Amino acid sequence: MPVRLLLVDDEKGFGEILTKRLGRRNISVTSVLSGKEGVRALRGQDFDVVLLDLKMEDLDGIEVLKIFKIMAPEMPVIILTGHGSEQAARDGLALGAEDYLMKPCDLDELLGKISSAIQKPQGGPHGTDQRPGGG
Amino acid sequence: MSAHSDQRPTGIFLAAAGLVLLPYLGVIAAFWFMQQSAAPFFDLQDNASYLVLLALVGLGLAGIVAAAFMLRKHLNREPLQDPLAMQDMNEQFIEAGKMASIGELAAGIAHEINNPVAIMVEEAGWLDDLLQDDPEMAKSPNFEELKRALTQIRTQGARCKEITHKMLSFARKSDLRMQNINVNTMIQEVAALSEKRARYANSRIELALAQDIPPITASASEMQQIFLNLINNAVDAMENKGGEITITTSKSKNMVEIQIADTGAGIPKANLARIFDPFYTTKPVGKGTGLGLSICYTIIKNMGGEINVASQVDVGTTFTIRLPVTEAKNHDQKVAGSEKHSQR
Ligand SMILES: Nc1ncnc2c1ncn2[C@@H]1O[C@H](COP(=O)(O)OP(=O)(O)OP(=O)(O)O)[C@@H](O)[C@H]1O
Ligand SMILES: [Mg+2]
Repeated sequence: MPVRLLLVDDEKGFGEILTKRLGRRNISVTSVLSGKEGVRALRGQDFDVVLLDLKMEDLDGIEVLKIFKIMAPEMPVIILTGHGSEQAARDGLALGAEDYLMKPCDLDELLGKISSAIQKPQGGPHGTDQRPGGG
Repeated sequence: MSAHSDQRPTGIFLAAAGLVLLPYLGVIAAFWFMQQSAAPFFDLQDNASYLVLLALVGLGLAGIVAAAFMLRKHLNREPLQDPLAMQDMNEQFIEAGKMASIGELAAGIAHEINNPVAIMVEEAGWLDDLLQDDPEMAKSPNFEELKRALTQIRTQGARCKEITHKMLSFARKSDLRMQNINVNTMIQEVAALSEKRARYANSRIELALAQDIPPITASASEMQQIFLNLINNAVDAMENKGGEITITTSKSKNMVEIQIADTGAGIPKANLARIFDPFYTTKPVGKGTGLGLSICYTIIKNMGGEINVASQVDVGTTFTIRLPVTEAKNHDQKVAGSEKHSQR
Protein backbone atom coordinates (compact mmCIF):
# COMPACT_ATOMS: atom_id res chain seq x y z
CA MET A 1 0.00 0.00 0.00
CA PRO A 2 1.43 3.37 -0.92
CA VAL A 3 2.31 5.96 1.69
CA ARG A 4 -0.47 8.56 1.92
CA LEU A 5 1.02 12.02 1.95
CA LEU A 6 -0.76 15.34 2.34
CA LEU A 7 1.03 18.25 0.71
CA VAL A 8 -0.11 21.70 1.83
CA ASP A 9 1.55 24.35 -0.33
CA ASP A 10 0.01 27.34 -2.06
CA GLU A 11 2.49 27.01 -4.92
CA LYS A 12 0.44 25.14 -7.53
CA GLY A 13 3.32 24.13 -9.80
CA PHE A 14 5.24 22.70 -6.89
CA GLY A 15 2.32 20.54 -5.80
CA GLU A 16 1.84 19.21 -9.30
CA ILE A 17 5.41 18.19 -9.91
CA LEU A 18 5.90 16.73 -6.46
CA THR A 19 2.73 14.68 -6.90
CA LYS A 20 4.21 13.17 -10.08
CA ARG A 21 7.67 12.56 -8.71
CA LEU A 22 6.58 11.10 -5.39
CA GLY A 23 3.84 9.12 -7.12
CA ARG A 24 6.50 7.14 -8.98
CA ARG A 25 8.12 6.35 -5.67
CA ASN A 26 5.09 4.70 -4.16
CA ILE A 27 3.88 7.77 -2.30
CA SER A 28 0.36 8.87 -3.11
CA VAL A 29 0.13 12.63 -2.80
CA THR A 30 -2.96 14.65 -2.00
CA SER A 31 -2.02 18.18 -2.91
CA VAL A 32 -3.95 21.13 -1.49
CA LEU A 33 -3.25 24.80 -2.00
CA SER A 34 -4.22 26.32 1.33
CA GLY A 35 -4.29 25.68 5.04
CA LYS A 36 -8.07 25.58 5.07
CA GLU A 37 -8.17 22.98 2.30
CA GLY A 38 -5.58 21.03 4.25
CA VAL A 39 -7.77 20.95 7.32
CA ARG A 40 -10.74 19.87 5.16
CA ALA A 41 -8.69 17.08 3.55
CA LEU A 42 -7.56 15.78 6.93
CA ARG A 43 -11.16 15.73 8.14
CA GLY A 44 -12.07 13.45 5.19
CA GLN A 45 -9.27 10.88 5.45
CA ASP A 46 -6.15 9.76 7.31
CA PHE A 47 -2.63 10.47 6.14
CA ASP A 48 0.68 8.87 7.02
CA VAL A 49 2.64 12.08 6.75
CA VAL A 50 2.16 15.77 5.97
CA LEU A 51 4.41 18.17 4.09
CA LEU A 52 3.51 21.66 5.18
CA ASP A 53 4.56 24.99 3.73
CA LEU A 54 4.95 27.63 6.42
CA LYS A 55 4.13 30.70 4.41
CA MET A 56 0.67 30.71 2.88
CA GLU A 57 -1.95 33.32 2.18
CA ASP A 58 -4.99 32.20 4.15
CA LEU A 59 -3.71 30.60 7.35
CA ASP A 60 -0.21 30.92 8.68
CA GLY A 61 1.48 27.53 8.31
CA ILE A 62 2.23 27.55 12.02
CA GLU A 63 -1.50 27.84 12.75
CA VAL A 64 -2.20 24.96 10.38
CA LEU A 65 0.41 22.92 12.23
CA LYS A 66 -1.28 23.61 15.57
CA ILE A 67 -4.65 22.52 14.16
CA PHE A 68 -3.16 19.35 12.63
CA LYS A 69 -1.52 18.48 15.93
CA ILE A 70 -4.91 18.71 17.62
CA MET A 71 -6.73 16.77 14.88
CA ALA A 72 -4.12 14.02 14.51
CA PRO A 73 -1.41 14.24 17.17
CA GLU A 74 0.35 11.08 15.95
CA MET A 75 0.63 12.11 12.32
CA PRO A 76 4.16 13.34 11.53
CA VAL A 77 4.40 16.77 9.94
CA ILE A 78 7.44 17.82 7.95
CA ILE A 79 7.81 21.53 7.42
CA LEU A 80 8.75 22.33 3.86
CA THR A 81 9.19 25.94 3.10
CA GLY A 82 10.69 28.52 0.83
CA HIS A 83 10.56 30.84 3.77
CA GLY A 84 14.25 30.31 4.46
CA SER A 85 14.06 31.41 8.03
CA GLU A 86 15.35 28.59 10.18
CA GLN A 87 13.77 30.28 13.17
CA ALA A 88 10.25 29.76 11.84
CA ALA A 89 11.07 26.13 11.15
CA ARG A 90 12.44 25.74 14.66
CA ASP A 91 9.22 27.24 16.04
CA GLY A 92 7.46 24.52 14.07
CA LEU A 93 9.65 21.82 15.64
CA ALA A 94 8.82 23.19 19.07
CA LEU A 95 5.15 22.80 18.21
CA GLY A 96 5.55 19.15 17.38
CA ALA A 97 6.67 19.08 13.76
CA GLU A 98 8.86 16.10 12.92
CA ASP A 99 11.49 17.76 10.80
CA TYR A 100 12.01 20.57 8.34
CA LEU A 101 13.40 21.15 4.88
CA MET A 102 14.27 24.31 3.00
CA LYS A 103 13.07 24.79 -0.55
CA PRO A 104 14.49 24.10 -3.02
CA CYS A 105 15.42 20.74 -1.59
CA ASP A 106 16.89 17.59 -2.93
CA LEU A 107 14.33 14.86 -3.62
CA ASP A 108 16.52 12.21 -2.02
CA GLU A 109 16.75 14.34 1.09
CA LEU A 110 12.98 14.72 1.14
CA LEU A 111 12.49 10.97 0.66
CA GLY A 112 14.88 10.29 3.51
CA LYS A 113 12.94 12.56 5.84
CA ILE A 114 9.61 11.11 4.80
CA SER A 115 10.74 7.53 5.40
CA SER A 116 12.28 8.31 8.77
CA ALA A 117 9.15 10.23 9.80
CA ILE A 118 6.79 7.36 9.06
CA GLN A 119 9.10 4.72 10.50
CA LYS A 120 9.61 6.51 13.74
CA PRO A 121 8.25 4.50 16.65
CA GLN A 122 5.92 6.96 18.31
CA GLY A 123 7.23 8.47 21.50
CA GLY A 124 10.68 6.88 21.54
CA PRO A 125 14.00 8.26 20.36
CA HIS A 126 14.84 7.40 16.80
CA GLY A 127 17.95 7.13 14.65
CA THR A 128 17.91 9.50 11.74
CA ASP A 129 17.66 7.72 8.46
CA GLN A 130 19.28 10.27 6.24
CA ARG A 131 20.62 9.20 2.95
CA PRO A 132 23.31 11.35 1.39
CA GLY A 133 21.68 13.57 -1.20
CA GLY A 134 22.91 12.47 -4.61
CA GLY A 135 22.50 14.34 -7.88
CA MET B 1 19.37 81.60 5.94
CA SER B 2 21.68 83.22 8.49
CA ALA B 3 19.04 85.78 9.56
CA HIS B 4 16.66 82.96 10.20
CA SER B 5 19.08 80.90 12.20
CA ASP B 6 20.08 83.97 14.25
CA GLN B 7 16.53 84.76 15.18
CA ARG B 8 15.67 81.38 16.50
CA PRO B 9 18.09 81.16 19.43
CA THR B 10 17.34 84.79 20.38
CA GLY B 11 13.70 83.87 20.69
CA ILE B 12 14.49 80.82 22.75
CA PHE B 13 16.83 82.88 24.91
CA LEU B 14 14.15 85.50 25.66
CA ALA B 15 11.56 82.89 26.42
CA ALA B 16 13.90 80.99 28.75
CA ALA B 17 15.01 84.17 30.53
CA GLY B 18 11.36 85.13 30.97
CA LEU B 19 10.55 81.75 32.42
CA VAL B 20 13.42 81.96 34.92
CA LEU B 21 12.60 85.54 35.81
CA LEU B 22 8.90 85.00 36.44
CA PRO B 23 9.08 82.96 39.67
CA TYR B 24 11.85 85.18 40.87
CA LEU B 25 9.69 88.26 40.44
CA GLY B 26 6.99 86.32 42.25
CA VAL B 27 9.26 85.77 45.24
CA ILE B 28 10.21 89.47 45.39
CA ALA B 29 6.54 90.42 45.15
CA ALA B 30 5.73 88.03 48.00
CA PHE B 31 8.42 89.57 50.20
CA TRP B 32 7.10 93.01 49.43
CA PHE B 33 3.58 91.95 50.19
CA MET B 34 4.58 90.33 53.47
CA GLN B 35 6.47 93.43 54.49
CA GLN B 36 3.34 95.52 53.88
CA SER B 37 0.82 93.28 55.57
CA ALA B 38 2.67 91.12 58.08
CA ALA B 39 5.12 93.56 59.56
CA PRO B 40 4.82 92.16 63.06
CA PHE B 41 6.27 88.79 61.97
CA PHE B 42 9.10 90.07 59.80
CA ASP B 43 11.17 92.70 61.32
CA LEU B 44 12.57 94.34 58.20
CA GLN B 45 12.61 97.81 59.58
CA ASP B 46 16.30 97.88 60.45
CA ASN B 47 18.90 98.56 57.78
CA ALA B 48 20.70 95.26 58.19
CA SER B 49 17.68 93.23 57.07
CA TYR B 50 17.15 95.56 54.10
CA LEU B 51 20.75 95.11 53.01
CA VAL B 52 20.49 91.34 53.24
CA LEU B 53 17.34 91.33 51.14
CA LEU B 54 18.86 93.67 48.57
CA ALA B 55 21.98 91.52 48.36
CA LEU B 56 19.85 88.44 47.77
CA VAL B 57 17.92 90.15 44.99
CA GLY B 58 21.15 91.35 43.42
CA LEU B 59 22.76 87.91 43.59
CA GLY B 60 19.69 86.33 42.04
CA LEU B 61 19.69 88.81 39.16
CA ALA B 62 23.36 88.17 38.52
CA GLY B 63 22.62 84.43 38.50
CA ILE B 64 19.87 84.88 35.93
CA VAL B 65 22.07 86.95 33.66
CA ALA B 66 24.85 84.38 33.88
CA ALA B 67 22.46 81.52 33.18
CA ALA B 68 20.98 83.36 30.23
CA PHE B 69 24.42 83.97 28.75
CA MET B 70 25.38 80.36 29.12
CA LEU B 71 22.12 79.27 27.57
CA ARG B 72 22.71 81.52 24.64
CA LYS B 73 26.25 80.33 24.17
CA HIS B 74 25.10 76.73 24.30
CA LEU B 75 22.36 77.38 21.76
CA ASN B 76 24.91 78.88 19.41
CA ARG B 77 26.81 75.62 19.52
CA GLU B 78 23.75 73.50 18.58
CA PRO B 79 24.56 71.47 15.45
CA LEU B 80 21.23 72.52 13.96
CA GLN B 81 22.71 76.00 13.60
CA ASP B 82 25.50 74.82 11.39
CA PRO B 83 24.26 74.12 7.87
CA LEU B 84 27.27 71.90 7.16
CA ALA B 85 26.65 69.68 10.17
CA MET B 86 23.01 69.45 9.22
CA GLN B 87 23.88 68.26 5.74
CA ASP B 88 26.10 65.59 7.23
CA MET B 89 23.26 64.35 9.41
CA ASN B 90 20.84 64.27 6.51
CA GLU B 91 23.25 62.20 4.55
CA GLN B 92 23.49 59.70 7.36
CA PHE B 93 19.74 59.41 7.69
CA ILE B 94 19.29 58.87 3.99
CA GLU B 95 21.92 56.19 3.98
CA ALA B 96 20.37 54.38 6.93
CA GLY B 97 17.00 54.43 5.20
CA LYS B 98 18.48 53.10 2.01
CA MET B 99 20.10 50.19 3.80
CA ALA B 100 16.90 49.16 5.51
CA SER B 101 15.03 48.98 2.24
CA ILE B 102 17.79 47.02 0.56
CA GLY B 103 17.56 44.53 3.41
CA GLU B 104 13.82 44.24 3.02
CA LEU B 105 14.10 43.95 -0.72
CA ALA B 106 16.69 41.22 -0.35
CA ALA B 107 14.44 39.23 1.95
CA GLY B 108 11.49 39.67 -0.39
CA ILE B 109 13.45 38.55 -3.42
CA ALA B 110 14.85 35.58 -1.56
CA HIS B 111 11.37 34.45 -0.53
CA GLU B 112 9.88 34.87 -3.95
CA ILE B 113 12.72 33.21 -5.82
CA ASN B 114 12.86 30.05 -3.74
CA ASN B 115 9.49 28.79 -4.95
CA PRO B 116 10.02 29.08 -8.71
CA VAL B 117 13.53 27.67 -8.34
CA ALA B 118 12.17 24.74 -6.35
CA ILE B 119 9.68 24.02 -9.12
CA MET B 120 12.33 24.26 -11.83
CA VAL B 121 14.62 21.88 -9.97
CA GLU B 122 11.78 19.41 -9.43
CA GLU B 123 10.72 19.59 -13.08
CA ALA B 124 14.29 18.83 -14.10
CA GLY B 125 14.25 15.92 -11.70
CA TRP B 126 11.01 14.72 -13.25
CA LEU B 127 12.56 14.74 -16.73
CA ASP B 128 15.45 12.79 -15.29
CA ASP B 129 12.97 10.24 -13.88
CA LEU B 130 11.37 9.89 -17.30
CA LEU B 131 14.69 9.52 -19.09
CA GLN B 132 15.78 6.79 -16.77
CA ASP B 133 12.60 4.81 -17.17
CA ASP B 134 12.25 4.84 -20.90
CA PRO B 135 14.55 2.36 -22.68
CA GLU B 136 13.85 4.09 -26.00
CA MET B 137 15.24 7.32 -24.60
CA ALA B 138 18.49 5.70 -23.58
CA LYS B 139 19.10 4.76 -27.19
CA SER B 140 18.72 8.31 -28.39
CA PRO B 141 21.96 9.93 -29.57
CA ASN B 142 21.09 12.94 -27.43
CA PHE B 143 20.67 10.97 -24.24
CA GLU B 144 23.99 12.02 -22.71
CA GLU B 145 23.44 15.64 -23.63
CA LEU B 146 20.00 15.62 -22.07
CA LYS B 147 21.35 14.13 -18.87
CA ARG B 148 24.11 16.69 -18.74
CA ALA B 149 21.69 19.57 -19.26
CA LEU B 150 19.42 18.31 -16.50
CA THR B 151 22.30 17.97 -14.08
CA GLN B 152 23.31 21.50 -14.93
CA ILE B 153 19.83 22.83 -14.22
CA ARG B 154 19.92 21.23 -10.80
CA THR B 155 23.40 22.47 -9.99
CA GLN B 156 22.43 26.01 -10.89
CA GLY B 157 19.26 25.66 -8.85
CA ALA B 158 21.35 24.74 -5.84
CA ARG B 159 23.40 27.85 -6.49
CA CYS B 160 20.28 30.02 -6.40
CA LYS B 161 19.39 28.44 -3.11
CA GLU B 162 22.76 29.33 -1.65
CA ILE B 163 22.37 32.94 -2.69
CA THR B 164 18.86 33.33 -1.36
CA HIS B 165 19.79 31.73 1.93
CA LYS B 166 22.64 34.15 2.37
CA MET B 167 20.35 37.05 1.56
CA LEU B 168 17.83 35.84 4.07
CA SER B 169 20.35 35.38 6.82
CA PHE B 170 21.28 38.99 6.18
CA ALA B 171 17.75 40.28 6.40
CA ARG B 172 16.65 37.88 9.11
CA LYS B 173 14.77 39.44 11.93
CA SER B 174 14.67 36.55 14.35
CA ASP B 175 18.08 36.63 15.96
CA LEU B 176 18.36 40.32 16.46
CA ARG B 177 18.14 40.30 20.25
CA MET B 178 20.64 42.86 21.47
CA GLN B 179 22.83 41.79 24.34
CA ASN B 180 26.07 42.70 26.02
CA ILE B 181 28.84 41.01 24.15
CA ASN B 182 32.44 40.45 25.08
CA VAL B 183 34.21 40.91 21.77
CA ASN B 184 37.27 38.94 22.86
CA THR B 185 35.30 35.84 23.80
CA MET B 186 33.36 36.01 20.58
CA ILE B 187 36.54 36.30 18.50
CA GLN B 188 38.06 33.32 20.30
CA GLU B 189 34.99 31.25 19.50
CA VAL B 190 34.86 32.23 15.85
CA ALA B 191 38.62 31.74 15.47
CA ALA B 192 38.28 28.23 16.87
CA LEU B 193 35.50 27.55 14.36
CA SER B 194 37.60 28.79 11.46
CA GLU B 195 40.84 27.18 12.48
CA LYS B 196 40.36 23.99 10.53
CA ARG B 197 39.55 25.82 7.33
CA ALA B 198 42.51 28.13 7.83
CA ARG B 199 44.91 25.26 8.43
CA TYR B 200 43.62 23.51 5.33
CA ALA B 201 44.53 26.64 3.36
CA ASN B 202 47.98 26.70 4.92
CA SER B 203 47.31 29.75 7.06
CA ARG B 204 47.33 30.49 10.77
CA ILE B 205 45.11 32.66 12.93
CA GLU B 206 46.89 34.76 15.55
CA LEU B 207 44.97 36.57 18.27
CA ALA B 208 46.23 39.74 19.95
CA LEU B 209 43.40 40.63 22.27
CA ALA B 210 43.64 43.52 24.71
CA GLN B 211 42.56 42.69 28.23
CA ASP B 212 40.47 45.73 29.13
CA ILE B 213 37.88 45.57 26.36
CA PRO B 214 34.48 46.83 27.53
CA PRO B 215 31.35 45.02 26.35
CA ILE B 216 29.41 46.18 23.30
CA THR B 217 25.68 45.98 22.66
CA ALA B 218 24.96 43.80 19.65
CA SER B 219 23.26 40.70 18.35
CA ALA B 220 25.48 37.67 18.90
CA SER B 221 24.59 36.06 15.60
CA GLU B 222 25.27 39.25 13.70
CA MET B 223 28.66 39.65 15.34
CA GLN B 224 29.46 36.07 14.47
CA GLN B 225 28.50 36.71 10.86
CA ILE B 226 30.82 39.70 10.70
CA PHE B 227 33.84 37.81 12.01
CA LEU B 228 33.16 34.69 9.98
CA ASN B 229 32.80 36.67 6.76
CA LEU B 230 36.00 38.61 7.34
CA ILE B 231 38.02 35.54 8.35
CA ASN B 232 36.68 33.58 5.38
CA ASN B 233 37.67 36.39 3.06
CA ALA B 234 41.14 36.46 4.58
CA VAL B 235 41.53 32.70 4.20
CA ASP B 236 40.37 32.95 0.58
CA ALA B 237 42.89 35.70 -0.08
CA MET B 238 45.74 33.50 1.15
CA GLU B 239 44.60 30.35 -0.56
CA ASN B 240 47.55 30.10 -2.91
CA LYS B 241 50.54 30.77 -0.74
CA GLY B 242 49.21 30.51 2.81
CA GLY B 243 49.92 33.17 5.40
CA GLU B 244 48.81 34.66 8.63
CA ILE B 245 45.61 36.23 9.91
CA THR B 246 46.05 38.52 12.88
CA ILE B 247 43.03 39.62 14.86
CA THR B 248 43.67 42.51 17.21
CA THR B 249 41.33 44.17 19.67
CA SER B 250 41.82 47.46 21.48
CA LYS B 251 39.85 50.25 23.05
CA SER B 252 39.87 53.74 21.64
CA LYS B 253 37.76 56.39 23.35
CA ASN B 254 34.19 55.08 23.43
CA MET B 255 34.79 52.53 20.72
CA VAL B 256 36.07 48.99 20.62
CA GLU B 257 38.43 48.55 17.72
CA ILE B 258 38.91 45.23 15.99
CA GLN B 259 41.45 44.65 13.25
CA ILE B 260 41.53 41.64 11.01
CA ALA B 261 44.73 41.60 9.01
CA ASP B 262 45.87 39.06 6.47
CA THR B 263 49.02 38.57 4.43
CA GLY B 264 47.10 37.58 1.34
CA ALA B 265 46.73 38.73 -2.23
CA GLY B 266 45.50 42.24 -1.38
CA ILE B 267 42.90 44.29 -3.23
CA PRO B 268 43.81 46.40 -6.25
CA LYS B 269 43.04 50.06 -5.75
CA ALA B 270 40.51 50.04 -8.58
CA ASN B 271 38.40 47.43 -6.78
CA LEU B 272 38.62 48.93 -3.33
CA ALA B 273 35.61 51.18 -3.73
CA ARG B 274 33.39 48.31 -4.78
CA ILE B 275 34.12 45.55 -2.30
CA PHE B 276 31.27 46.58 0.03
CA ASP B 277 28.72 46.53 -2.80
CA PRO B 278 26.22 43.69 -2.71
CA PHE B 279 27.04 40.94 -5.24
CA TYR B 280 30.47 42.33 -5.98
CA THR B 281 32.84 39.39 -6.09
CA THR B 282 36.06 38.44 -7.82
CA LYS B 283 35.67 34.79 -6.90
CA PRO B 284 34.75 32.08 -9.39
CA VAL B 285 31.15 31.01 -9.90
CA GLY B 286 29.97 28.87 -7.03
CA LYS B 287 32.60 30.16 -4.62
CA GLY B 288 31.52 33.67 -3.82
CA THR B 289 28.16 35.40 -3.77
CA GLY B 290 29.59 38.85 -3.11
CA LEU B 291 27.29 39.36 -0.17
CA GLY B 292 29.75 38.89 2.69
CA LEU B 293 31.12 42.39 3.01
CA SER B 294 27.87 44.16 2.23
CA ILE B 295 26.29 42.22 5.09
CA CYS B 296 29.13 43.23 7.41
CA TYR B 297 28.84 46.84 6.34
CA THR B 298 25.11 47.01 6.94
CA ILE B 299 25.26 45.38 10.36
CA ILE B 300 28.10 47.61 11.52
CA LYS B 301 26.47 50.79 10.24
CA ASN B 302 23.21 49.92 11.94
CA MET B 303 25.09 49.52 15.20
CA GLY B 304 26.53 53.00 14.86
CA GLY B 305 29.98 51.68 14.09
CA GLU B 306 32.25 51.83 11.09
CA ILE B 307 34.39 49.58 8.95
CA ASN B 308 37.46 50.60 6.99
CA VAL B 309 39.85 48.77 4.76
CA ALA B 310 43.50 49.23 3.96
CA SER B 311 45.12 47.00 1.40
CA GLN B 312 48.19 46.57 -0.71
CA VAL B 313 48.46 44.10 -3.55
CA ASP B 314 50.71 41.12 -2.70
CA VAL B 315 51.20 42.41 0.84
CA GLY B 316 47.87 42.01 2.51
CA THR B 317 44.63 43.52 3.67
CA THR B 318 43.50 44.93 7.00
CA PHE B 319 39.88 45.51 7.91
CA THR B 320 39.33 47.82 10.87
CA ILE B 321 36.00 47.82 12.69
CA ARG B 322 35.00 50.31 15.34
CA LEU B 323 31.94 49.63 17.46
CA PRO B 324 30.46 51.79 20.22
CA VAL B 325 30.85 50.36 23.72
CA THR B 326 27.83 49.73 25.91
CA GLU B 327 27.08 52.64 28.17
CA ALA B 328 24.15 53.93 30.16
CA LYS B 329 24.12 57.04 28.00
CA ASN B 330 24.89 55.32 24.76
CA HIS B 331 22.44 57.22 22.57
CA ASP B 332 24.59 60.22 21.77
CA GLN B 333 27.41 58.23 20.34
CA LYS B 334 25.93 57.49 16.98
CA VAL B 335 26.11 61.15 16.09
CA ALA B 336 29.52 61.53 17.67
CA GLY B 337 31.05 58.79 15.55
CA SER B 338 30.02 60.29 12.23
CA GLU B 339 33.31 61.86 11.21
CA LYS B 340 34.16 59.65 8.30
CA HIS B 341 32.83 56.54 6.63
CA SER B 342 35.22 54.56 4.58
CA GLN B 343 33.47 53.38 1.46
CA ARG B 344 30.44 54.57 -0.51
N1 LIG C 1 40.81 39.93 2.86
C1 LIG C 1 40.67 40.13 1.54
N2 LIG C 1 41.74 40.08 0.71
C2 LIG C 1 41.60 40.26 -0.61
N3 LIG C 1 40.42 40.54 -1.24
C3 LIG C 1 39.32 40.61 -0.47
C4 LIG C 1 39.38 40.42 0.95
N4 LIG C 1 38.14 40.56 1.43
C5 LIG C 1 37.34 40.83 0.37
N5 LIG C 1 38.05 40.86 -0.77
C6 LIG C 1 37.52 41.14 -2.11
O1 LIG C 1 36.22 41.69 -1.99
C7 LIG C 1 35.28 40.90 -2.71
C8 LIG C 1 33.94 40.95 -2.02
O2 LIG C 1 33.99 40.27 -0.80
P1 LIG C 1 32.66 39.68 -0.18
O3 LIG C 1 33.00 39.04 1.11
O4 LIG C 1 31.64 40.75 -0.17
O5 LIG C 1 32.19 38.61 -1.20
P2 LIG C 1 32.87 37.21 -1.56
O6 LIG C 1 33.84 36.83 -0.50
O7 LIG C 1 33.38 37.29 -2.94
O8 LIG C 1 31.62 36.23 -1.52
P3 LIG C 1 30.86 35.67 -0.24
O9 LIG C 1 31.48 36.31 0.97
O10 LIG C 1 29.45 36.08 -0.40
O11 LIG C 1 31.04 34.21 -0.29
C9 LIG C 1 35.91 39.54 -2.81
O12 LIG C 1 35.43 38.82 -3.90
C10 LIG C 1 37.38 39.88 -2.94
O13 LIG C 1 37.69 40.24 -4.26
MG1 LIG D 1 33.27 36.90 1.56
